[in-house]
Amino acid sequence: MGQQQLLLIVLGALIVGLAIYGGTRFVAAFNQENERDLIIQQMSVLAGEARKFAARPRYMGGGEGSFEGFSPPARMAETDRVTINVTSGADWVLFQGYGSVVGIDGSSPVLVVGQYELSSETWSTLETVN
Amino acid sequence: MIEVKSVTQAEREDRRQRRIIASLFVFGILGLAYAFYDYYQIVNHVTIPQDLEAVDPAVASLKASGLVEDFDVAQHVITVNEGKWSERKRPEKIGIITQLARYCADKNKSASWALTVRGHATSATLGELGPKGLVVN
Repeated sequence: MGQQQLLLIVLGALIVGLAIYGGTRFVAAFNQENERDLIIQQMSVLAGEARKFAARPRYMGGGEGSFEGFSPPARMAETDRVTINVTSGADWVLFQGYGSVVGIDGSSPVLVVGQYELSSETWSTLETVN
Repeated sequence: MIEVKSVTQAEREDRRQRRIIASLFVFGILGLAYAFYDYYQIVNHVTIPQDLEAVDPAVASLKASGLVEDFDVAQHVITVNEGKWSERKRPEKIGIITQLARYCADKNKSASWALTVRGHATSATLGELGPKGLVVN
């Protein structure tokens, strides 16, 4: 076998190996992105719940213009694939949403953090952490 | 049957093989560069584990790396090396602050999360989760 053929075999093996690695990473990234979208969607649902809470008067178990004391319904905060932890202040509510697939760091699940503002009714922070 | 090639044909075949090898080589280099870049991104990404039981070892490893100088759970304060903190991306900082704030709330049996990130040399507040919500400087 000539030198060129040997080189071709080595380079071919390298390319195939890299293609398998790249393909695996591509599928993983696709799954992660899907999971993040799911988390954001669930966080938006919870933000709506928080808004409803703030709109209700205190005697009806609401916040009367404040997010303080908001705690989401358990069935919404924890689903089969998503777990969302919540903390709140007077005019903001912060969501920390974990998915079920491994994120960027290769060990912890995907994580999205979002902070929803009562005054502007928008997300002041919405970051993909992992 | 033995195939007889002319010198021109052999040279043409040789050139073709050289071109294939060169392009495979370029693909190989690009692929390896991507693999190394990807690996660097993975190992360089700081995330605090989801499981609160695993937070202590994660903080210990951050201390060993020089990013965290001190972590006072009772006071909800983490002291960091300013230089190393500024090297971190904003999402990483947000991840550290929120998860450690949740950890402190859990340890202190508090309903609301709070954490202040303080610089070791300047004592400046570099990030906070408090009454105003999440603030990352």
